[in-house]
Amino acid sequence: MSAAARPPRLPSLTHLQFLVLGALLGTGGEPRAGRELRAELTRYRVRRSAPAFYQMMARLEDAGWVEGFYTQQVVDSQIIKERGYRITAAGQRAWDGTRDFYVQTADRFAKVQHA
Amino acid sequence: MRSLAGWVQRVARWLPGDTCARVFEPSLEDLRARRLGRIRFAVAAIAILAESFRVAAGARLRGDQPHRQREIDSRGAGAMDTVAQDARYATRMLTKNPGFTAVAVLALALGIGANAVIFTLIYGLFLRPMPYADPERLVRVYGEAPERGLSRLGSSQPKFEHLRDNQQVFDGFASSLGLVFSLSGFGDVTQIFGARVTCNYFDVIGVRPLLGRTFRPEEEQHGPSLALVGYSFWVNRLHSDRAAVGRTISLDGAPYEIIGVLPPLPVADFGRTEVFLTRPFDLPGLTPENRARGVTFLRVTARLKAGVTIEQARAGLAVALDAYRRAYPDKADSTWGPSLVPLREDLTGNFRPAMLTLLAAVALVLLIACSNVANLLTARFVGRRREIALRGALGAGRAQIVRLFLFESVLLSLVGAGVGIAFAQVGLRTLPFIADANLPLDDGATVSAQVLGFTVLIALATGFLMGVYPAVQAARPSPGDALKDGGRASTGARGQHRVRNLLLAGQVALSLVLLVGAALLVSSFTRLQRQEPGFDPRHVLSATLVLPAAKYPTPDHQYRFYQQVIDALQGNGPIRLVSFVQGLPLTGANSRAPYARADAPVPLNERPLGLARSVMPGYFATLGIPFIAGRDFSARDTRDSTPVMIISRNTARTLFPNEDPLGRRLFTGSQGGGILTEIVGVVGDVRSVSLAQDNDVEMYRPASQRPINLAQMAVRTDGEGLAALNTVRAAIHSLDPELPLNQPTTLEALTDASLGQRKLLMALLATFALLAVSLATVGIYSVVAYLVGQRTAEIGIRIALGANRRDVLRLVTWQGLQPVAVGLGAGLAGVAALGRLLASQLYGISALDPATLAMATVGLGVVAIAATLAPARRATKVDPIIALRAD
Repeated sequence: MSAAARPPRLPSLTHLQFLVLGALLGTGGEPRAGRELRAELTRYRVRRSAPAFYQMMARLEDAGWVEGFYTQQVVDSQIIKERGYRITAAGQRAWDGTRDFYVQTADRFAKVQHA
Repeated sequence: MRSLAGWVQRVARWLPGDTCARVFEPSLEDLRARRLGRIRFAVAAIAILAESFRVAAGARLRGDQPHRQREIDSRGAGAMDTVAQDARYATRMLTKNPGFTAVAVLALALGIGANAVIFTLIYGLFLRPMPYADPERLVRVYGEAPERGLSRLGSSQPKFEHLRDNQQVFDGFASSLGLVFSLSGFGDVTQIFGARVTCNYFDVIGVRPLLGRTFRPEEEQHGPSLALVGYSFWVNRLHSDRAAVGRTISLDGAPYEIIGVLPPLPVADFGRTEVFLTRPFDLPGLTPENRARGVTFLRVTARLKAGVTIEQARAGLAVALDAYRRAYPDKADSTWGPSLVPLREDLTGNFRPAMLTLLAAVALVLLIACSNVANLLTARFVGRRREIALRGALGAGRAQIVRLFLFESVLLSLVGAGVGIAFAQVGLRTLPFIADANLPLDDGATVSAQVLGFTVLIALATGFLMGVYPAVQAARPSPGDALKDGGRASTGARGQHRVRNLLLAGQVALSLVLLVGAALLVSSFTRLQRQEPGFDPRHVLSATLVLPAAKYPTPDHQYRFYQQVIDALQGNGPIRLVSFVQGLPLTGANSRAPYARADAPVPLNERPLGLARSVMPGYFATLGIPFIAGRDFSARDTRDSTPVMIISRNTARTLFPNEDPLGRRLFTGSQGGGILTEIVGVVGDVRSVSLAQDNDVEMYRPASQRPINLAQMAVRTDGEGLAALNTVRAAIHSLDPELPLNQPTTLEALTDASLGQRKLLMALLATFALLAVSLATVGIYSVVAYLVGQRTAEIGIRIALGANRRDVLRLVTWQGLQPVAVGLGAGLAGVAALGRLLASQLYGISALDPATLAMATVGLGVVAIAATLAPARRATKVDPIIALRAD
């Protein structure tokens, strides 16, 4: 058995985390507000209460995949303290690793099927 | 709303780790960005708080660590899941028994709703932060002479200036003086409330203008005429014009430049005051000589220095007052002592006894509701013993079972609170109709976030209190007994019977206390309504007229105008009599003057004060005040003739016992040490200050000799008072087209309005008593019905063995009425103990009036018998065969 045939390691990201990091990557590394990310998730029919969502983001921060910070926004002439997030290099690596896993796995099984 | 967010944030600090900063706060900010209404924001913020605790607990149970990444599963695991499961189970159990749930929710909603209504009033009157800087340091400075029965006396100009310059306990010392002005330039000429204040007034209370500035020291006495307008003036008359500063308004025909717009100020402090001017000692009709003599007309507000207590300030002020006394021994107000009242107490302190009574009443209603539902819950939980035993057999601990039942009771009370808030909203909407203008609440009576928070707390406490005993009782470990079929296993232990009876007796006792309280208040109120005021308020139209000083500069001008109005109106159509007075009875407009007998004079500053009214001739006939002796004022009584006065019958008795007062003389007023005035008439007593109070001394002086500053007009007509309004308006318009007629109403309405606060207290307490009796009735009925239900088999056996229906009826009724009798006894004891709480609110009836006590006790007893008889009669209809077969 050759080394190239060795299957890749299981990904470290769940579907939801993959989706969130993807949304952060989609802006070319620009930070996004928590509210925007929540809105992005609802497009995939993922509905989370605000505390559940921010708890998930806190975990991503703890893992070192995203970096969180506060900004001040003016919404309807009211000052709002908004939590923003940007993806870290480790986050990008984790996302790439997960994407590669699915691509390689799909590729591999597709070959087996057509062999 | 900010305070609710603050409260929620304070609780959020208890969240573990950095959950508050990273989870709760961004969630709350997201919510803010959605710009919800007050109520929706409050509910959502509390939901976010609860959810934050939930996710934090879930994370902790799962031991979430960075290296064990898991996606958030909103269904969680562990304790929170069990809690959620219990909550779902409790909901299911409550929806399974809609009848029970509806009764319990209704009882709790009534109890909690009543509490929400009263807490709304208490919050609005006593707890809402005042919009002043450090309001707890603000005090009112009054004078008092307890030995002469005088309190809360204003200040004179010399005294104010002396204290301001010689005290060391206050940071700021300011005065104000309420007045009425004619406002022109905004459609018809109207009269508005205004105030003259010292230039530092708004600095002392700590209010900054929304636009522009406040007064400067150099503007206090001299310089251009300037005005600060209140918020309502700015919104309603200037349409929130941001360029209002610099505009000119016309008050009493003179132009005033607006220099600033004030934010909303508390109604309790400023009433409907719309404009503020300076020149604080400018009271129309008050000559510089009178001002210098010590006539009191100023309301003084001061700010305590930081760290100075009110007692220290009182001592410091007493020293300054001593110096004033020594420097000006001849001033009319030099003998008065100082009296300091915290501002908040000064504004709403008079509501305290009534609100305490109502608070006690709603607490009782809630207790009744609680014990009612606790009784229902005991019956219900004990009835579920088989389920409990099964749970125990399957491994559930006692604590888990108790928790399960507590969930049900807390859920019940929370639903009850929700419905209660809806009831409270409806109740609060009807309050203004009962209270008239007697409640100085800033934004009316609405359920605020604070009230919502209080209600949720009350609901949680209620749910816990009423659920804990039944839950603990029901969770007693006796699976063997409980699993047995039938028998006494499901009727409840003797101890539970005792508790049920105790709760029932408690309900009856509390209901009796409330019923007696309400009956006493209703009786007082009807006595007051029937109290002869000393005048005939029927068919009398009243209105206020303020003659602008620019147009009517002297008392002679004013007198001539009043006489012209009388001449134009009297005998015109339905109008029979017309007169003017400074302050109609029962309107709160009472001025007082020092008096002394001419043959036994005392120094001016030691003379007592008596009510003094300036009137036009014909006043007594217009109001229907009977003449007892002497004559009315007439055209003969001019400024240059002998000063004359008419006194009330009580005055004659007090000052001239066993003597004929006619022709005798009194020193009245403070001018020149008092004017020697001859008594020319005696009239009947009038309850002019309050219907509940007789006046010792009341003097009437002719308007020709003692000018009227703020005239109230009285018009006696043949028919309905208000029907003559157009005629009166037209007559005044023909004499002076720019003079508005203010606050037209009837004397009957004014008399009724003087009872407003008592009416509110009576109506609320009567409502609560009605609630209490209804709840107690339902309580009695449900307990007896439950007992009958449980003893169906026993009753069947009794009937089978020969008991007749009367025996059964007696058995059941007697058992049901025992706790009622105990409750009535305890209630009477409670009335005796709590009676003095009500004593100050009563009129003409004792707090222990035997007739009222007997009526209430018998009434409640009859209701209790009726509530017992219905289920007892059902017990007599038990068919023994069916009853025995059914078990």
